[in-house]
Amino acid sequence: MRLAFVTPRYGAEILGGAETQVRDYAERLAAAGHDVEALTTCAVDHHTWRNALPPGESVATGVRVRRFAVTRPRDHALAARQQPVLDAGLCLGPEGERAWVENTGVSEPLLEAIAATAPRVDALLFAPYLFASTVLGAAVRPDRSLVIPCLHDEAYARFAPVQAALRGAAGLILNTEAERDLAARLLGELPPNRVVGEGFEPAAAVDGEGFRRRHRLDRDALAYAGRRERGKNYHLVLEYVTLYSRALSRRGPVRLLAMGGGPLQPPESARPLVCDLGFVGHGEMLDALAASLASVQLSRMESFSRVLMEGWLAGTPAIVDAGCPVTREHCAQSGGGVWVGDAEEFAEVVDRLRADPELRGRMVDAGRRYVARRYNWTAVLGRLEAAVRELVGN
Amino acid sequence: MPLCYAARAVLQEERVDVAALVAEVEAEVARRRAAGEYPEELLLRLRAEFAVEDEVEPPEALAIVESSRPLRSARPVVGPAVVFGKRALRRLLSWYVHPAVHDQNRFNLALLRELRSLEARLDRLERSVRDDGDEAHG
Repeated sequence: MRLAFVTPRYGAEILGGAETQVRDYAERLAAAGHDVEALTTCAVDHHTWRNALPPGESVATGVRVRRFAVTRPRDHALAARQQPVLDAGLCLGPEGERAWVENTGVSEPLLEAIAATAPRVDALLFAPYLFASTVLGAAVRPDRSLVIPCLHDEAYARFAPVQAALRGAAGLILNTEAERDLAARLLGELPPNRVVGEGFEPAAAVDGEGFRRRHRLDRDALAYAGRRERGKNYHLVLEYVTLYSRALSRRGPVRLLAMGGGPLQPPESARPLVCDLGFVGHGEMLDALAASLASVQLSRMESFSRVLMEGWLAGTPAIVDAGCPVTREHCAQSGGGVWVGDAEEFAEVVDRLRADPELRGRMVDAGRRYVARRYNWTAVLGRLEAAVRELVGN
Repeated sequence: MPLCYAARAVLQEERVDVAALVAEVEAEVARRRAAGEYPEELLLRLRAEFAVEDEVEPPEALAIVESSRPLRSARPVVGPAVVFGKRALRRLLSWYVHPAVHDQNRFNLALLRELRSLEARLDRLERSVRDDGDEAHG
């Protein structure tokens, strides 16, 4: 197949979940013999949309990458006016929504390239759902456009132009059944769609003991990997770990291994409990997960949640939020994680995991089996190829 | 720690019944809560630290926009001169800033009045629907 992925940012230095997924898909499809290219912008920062990389063509891990300059610079004043309105739960109105989308790195040359590329590829695949490259790009040739939305239940998913782009696409490629339910709730009748998900390599060698020695970890730890912001419920992770360690635990306090960046700082009572690792490499992240009693992921803004799978592969079960359909679905179907509704339930789960290493081990095994069965690359690529063929009627 | 949860039975079949485990966790938490086993005062105090950002001030407290804020400068030595400069600039721009702030405050208060009036109307309607329901059942 000849395929073109369209994403606003592309490259190994981009840390977003959707961007990682697109790069994985593109590289794996290219390695499987498909003719794959990636159309993207010169931006690497989705807050500034500054052209940080030169425009032009290059090849990265078998994928031809074509970069185009962002031609409408970010209007920071507009963003500053619109964000408080959204934060207050209010609507921007049709004009405001269009302006919001057009303030996310519009590149006219990219849109022209999409139009020129469409006739010579079997499908254009766009991700994620909310940026101009997808909302405006998928409208160029909707009959050839498949969207990998990586949808979250947030204000942007209710914008009229965003919903029009999703409804108008030839098909949607979704990560989980729970994401499909969310899409149906937001859009009503869905265009043709398939659930594919992300792929993972079998468990790599990890060194949890070495991590504990290197970081002088002298007690049980829980791991958090992700953006440290309220949108990801990192404040709840801090709160639950603090309440557990200072008031609820029957087995003493725990440390929190915090990985990733973000604006949220722990309050005074949480600070001594947090081991701030900042941005770490993938290997170090797996070692930290392996050194932990469980990985804690309380975000409700997930369309897949890679960190759960990586935790299981590294040998640690998951604790997720009862209100997140996606992570809860993974845990219920795998048996590799538990969902909690409040700090008391969190404490009960952590106490049980500490008291019962056998239960913990069984959960890890169950999670590993789930990843190996459902999200091995052979299965994922098979589903992805079938989805593209069926959705664009090739 | 008792290990007799439902998950134990299915563990032997190489499966973890997470739903059963969660149900047991919920039941245990409910039991401990009913028995007063949780240190509520301590929890309340700790939760307060995390609740700061969640506290939403009533709109009445936010409706009036101040046109002048305390002027400060953290710069050593030249700090007082910077503050003096800012004060002068503020005075020079006041003909422009004050009317805009005044208009904004009028708008905020008008909106708030409408909001409160709608709230009262909704309350009345809800009460009336409830009363009608009670009469029908009575």
